Amino acid sequence: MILDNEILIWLALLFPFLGTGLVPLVARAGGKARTYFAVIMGFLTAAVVLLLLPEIWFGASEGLTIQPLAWAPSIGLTFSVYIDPLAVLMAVIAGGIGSLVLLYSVKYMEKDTGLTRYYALVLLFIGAMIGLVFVNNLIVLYFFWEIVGLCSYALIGFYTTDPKAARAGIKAFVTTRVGDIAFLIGIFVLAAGAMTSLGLGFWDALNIQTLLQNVSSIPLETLAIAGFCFMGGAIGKSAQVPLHVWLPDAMEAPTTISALIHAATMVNAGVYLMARFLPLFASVPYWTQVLMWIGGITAFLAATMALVEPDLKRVLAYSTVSQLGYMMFGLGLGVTGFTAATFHLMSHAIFKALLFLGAGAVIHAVATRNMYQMGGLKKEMKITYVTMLIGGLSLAGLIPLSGFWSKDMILATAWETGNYFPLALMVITAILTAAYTIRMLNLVFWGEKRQQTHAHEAPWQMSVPLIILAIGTLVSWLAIGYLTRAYAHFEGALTFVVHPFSVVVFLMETFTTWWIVCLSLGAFLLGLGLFYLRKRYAQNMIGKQTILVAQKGYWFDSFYLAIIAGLRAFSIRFRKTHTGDLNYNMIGVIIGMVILLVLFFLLGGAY
Amino acid sequence: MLPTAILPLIILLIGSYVAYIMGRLEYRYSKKHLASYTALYFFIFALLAQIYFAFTVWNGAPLSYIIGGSTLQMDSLAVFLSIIALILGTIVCLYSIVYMAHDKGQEYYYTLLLLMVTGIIGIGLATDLLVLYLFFELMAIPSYALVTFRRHERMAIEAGMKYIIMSAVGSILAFFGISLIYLQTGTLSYSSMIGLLGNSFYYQCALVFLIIGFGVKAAIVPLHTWLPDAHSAAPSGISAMLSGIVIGAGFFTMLRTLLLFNAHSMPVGQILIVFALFTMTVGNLMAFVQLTHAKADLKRLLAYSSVAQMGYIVLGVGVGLAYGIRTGYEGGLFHIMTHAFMKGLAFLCAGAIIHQLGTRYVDDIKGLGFSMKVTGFALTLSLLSLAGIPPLSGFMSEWLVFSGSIMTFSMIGWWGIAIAAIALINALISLGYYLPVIRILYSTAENKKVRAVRDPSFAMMLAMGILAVLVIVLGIWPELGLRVIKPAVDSLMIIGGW
Repeated sequence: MILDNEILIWLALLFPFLGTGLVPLVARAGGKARTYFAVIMGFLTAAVVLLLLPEIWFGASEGLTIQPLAWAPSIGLTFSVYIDPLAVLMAVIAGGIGSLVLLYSVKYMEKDTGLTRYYALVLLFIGAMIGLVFVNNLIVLYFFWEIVGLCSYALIGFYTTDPKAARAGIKAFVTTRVGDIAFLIGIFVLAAGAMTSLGLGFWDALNIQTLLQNVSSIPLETLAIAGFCFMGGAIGKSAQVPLHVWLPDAMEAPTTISALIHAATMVNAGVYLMARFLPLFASVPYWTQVLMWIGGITAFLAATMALVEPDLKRVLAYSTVSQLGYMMFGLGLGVTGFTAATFHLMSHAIFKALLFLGAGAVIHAVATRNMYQMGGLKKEMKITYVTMLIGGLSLAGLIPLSGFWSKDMILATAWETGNYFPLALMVITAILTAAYTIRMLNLVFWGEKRQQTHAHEAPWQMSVPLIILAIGTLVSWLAIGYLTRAYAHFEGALTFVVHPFSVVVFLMETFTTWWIVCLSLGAFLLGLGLFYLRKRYAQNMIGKQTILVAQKGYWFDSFYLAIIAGLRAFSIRFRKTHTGDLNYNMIGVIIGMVILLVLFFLLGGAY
Repeated sequence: MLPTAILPLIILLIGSYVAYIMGRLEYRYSKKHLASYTALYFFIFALLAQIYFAFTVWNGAPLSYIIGGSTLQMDSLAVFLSIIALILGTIVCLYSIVYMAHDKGQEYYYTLLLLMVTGIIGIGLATDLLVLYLFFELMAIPSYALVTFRRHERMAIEAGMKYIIMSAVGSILAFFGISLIYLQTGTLSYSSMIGLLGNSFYYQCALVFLIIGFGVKAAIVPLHTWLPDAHSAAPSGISAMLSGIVIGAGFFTMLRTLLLFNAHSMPVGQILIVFALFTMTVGNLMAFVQLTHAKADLKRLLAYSSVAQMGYIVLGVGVGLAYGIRTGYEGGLFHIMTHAFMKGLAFLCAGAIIHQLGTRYVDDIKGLGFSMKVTGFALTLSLLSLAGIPPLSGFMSEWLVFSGSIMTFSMIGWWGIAIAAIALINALISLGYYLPVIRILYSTAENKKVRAVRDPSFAMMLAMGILAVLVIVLGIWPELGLRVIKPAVDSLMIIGGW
């Protein structure tokens, strides 16, 4: 290529981080300068990452590893970078959608204050996301993983005047932290296991490629603990049940952030983690089954919750949780599901970002998020309507949009691996998906206008990203050929075999399992039907009960609030041990001695 | 021989006298800031000298100086402690120029500050138990006076009273432990005893007394009860010093004495690990409770947070002592360093808030982040760093402690995972009191006073700024700090015979 790959990789990391650091400085020259600077840095990042695409996807090179970087030689911490098709896919999504979101933000966030913080954090986020997928070391991966979480927290709470937003940010942070604890324990256990069985030093044992290549040497017990712990981290970050509760509340963030972080990139980090380590943990008994069921149950529950949600963004949030469930489900089918899941990741990122940005345009125009106060917008917001229609139909799985192909591929893989009951669950979820999508489109765009004010169409900075993403969702499925060929080429690294096929072969294979295609399209039609019959369902007694349960979010939130309340109550009672009276304090010293003597006795060395 | 080993010590000692004289001259001639600037210059001078000599020591040649029958030796551990103490001392001195400008007793304050840091440096330099104890007291006594510096504040007197009594008891117990060692070995010098004290009734008793005695100063639960009062009642610069380095130095003293024991036959490290888990948990729960109070005191919250952070430090070092896990030592020592900077920064920001706004209560600072931009941002940075969030320095040090604790997996199996899990869950709980403060800082200001207040003057902002930069830099480029720690950890590993 024009530039050496190594330089491209460094630039891909440099541009966003440099951008973050410089935005406050450039902001001194005025708001416009800062905004343009941020957008330019975003597009530069996207350009650099796109330049890597040909080499990795179409080229003949092995995974790119570049010079190890000695981050902290005093403790022996060096890490390298390893790029393969999956990493580039994620990076392109992050950079590409990131740049479109930045462009969109120019107009969308125009009237807000604190934009320096906004652009700095968005660029930091993009950089951290790219860093996360590029690095070859578990601890540096975790480093970027947490930075991504930090940016999410800070950007969810961006509207400082809104107490709900601040609380939502904290909720997101704490919930994902629970997953991160599991992830961290998993990392350490895995490293400890690799250290003893492979005789590596600590930091070498954290090298991802080393671990993947030597999976057979690592004891199964270690892999099992690590596997489920990693799954915990992915559950937190990708908002799967039971740690899904933060994502709907995270919709307090500006819609651009919802599109970037909570639809296209950060939540995909969990999927990336599972995909990257699939070769490592697939051999652990029940690991794939657990992943599959978590994905499936999440997909189903989230779809039911989306069906009863009045807030436009929350519908999309639940939809994201549901679709991420599809991806986890795909990965849970085993290594054969790898292609399907990552394919769905790609297509979902595009159409979900599209839907969110479109929702942003709608919310921007009508100043409400409640769908029951919208309606009939299709006449006034034509471009937004058409693009969101395309995005919605892609989500619902209408042929020939990319959502259909990727969802169908997951269903077909489920059939091929013999998971018939989970397949049924996913088909039912597909019905619900179509239903809530049509419900959303109906409430927002069709029917009578419930709003008095005139809704204006979005300016070009907002429409152009919508159009680009809509085109993307029309054609992105064509990349399946390149994707599988790239994976096949990297089979050494993936340690399992991916069959490469071209688009034509893909079409043939898809229609060979024609009953799955029927199920997919049937689900779409049944979803439409369910929607049209909704009134009758809602009158029904059972209907009312199920709607209530879904509206309560299956009481997950209440459960967590109860835990926190319990901790609070316990702490308040515990506080009474700190009397502040010096006499009691001295008794504390005596107690300390007693504890020490007891420990002596228990730990040995006692006389 | 040239007193290069004790040059920083001598500089600060001379400085304490000169600062006192300048302070009196201030009164005489009604000048301002004479004592404070003098102290600042001496601090900077000592810091530069220390850094200069540090390179010699890091290249493998500890510097010694013999006084009477004892040697004062600057080895890598000593360098580690004194660099942190001097950096923090300089910054607090800079900060105090403005913060303490209106207090009476300038001559006492800076003298005591200089003497306290002298004591800390001396702790590092000591090579026998008596000199260690001597410098430990040299550090402690000025700190008693500094906590109660504002004599008209009732809270300060009460806090000081508790602090003195508990600390004195601790010192006596520790001294008793030292005497037991002397009884058995007939010597007080480290070099003859290091790593050798094994299983015998006297040594076990000595261990108990040493851990409890020095543990009071190191704020280990259940000996920590003086800390919330003392750290919140002291002037904020002193709170920063106390939380930042004095409790760290207390632990350092404990560590020096614990190294004398044979870690293979005595469960020294394991005991530390257990205490560390208690310390973390109690500290976090108590800090969490602070926010449930009607008038939540920010400094008290930070004080309890210090207890919890000491838990991490003790865990890291305990793991290293018990099982020879290098990462544990690295984590523990690096956390002493990063905690000094981040907790120091947090207290300095709290002080700036008290100085400008006149309140220390969390409820009163709603929306302050928008008026006092630099202070608000610095406080946010310090709180995020304390919570262990990358790319700030707290992440790397806490991470090293966690990884050290889980590396015990290969030695004690599931217990190792349990230890790490407890530590990580504690980190999770700590979010529960760090994040709400940030949220309150950046919510909408209802109070007119809050809207009108501005950032403090240059000296205070510079002090906070330097620490903020350190907090960020050590996070992105931890090598800077780890470079200082590596030789120290090497020597600890050698002593332990690992």
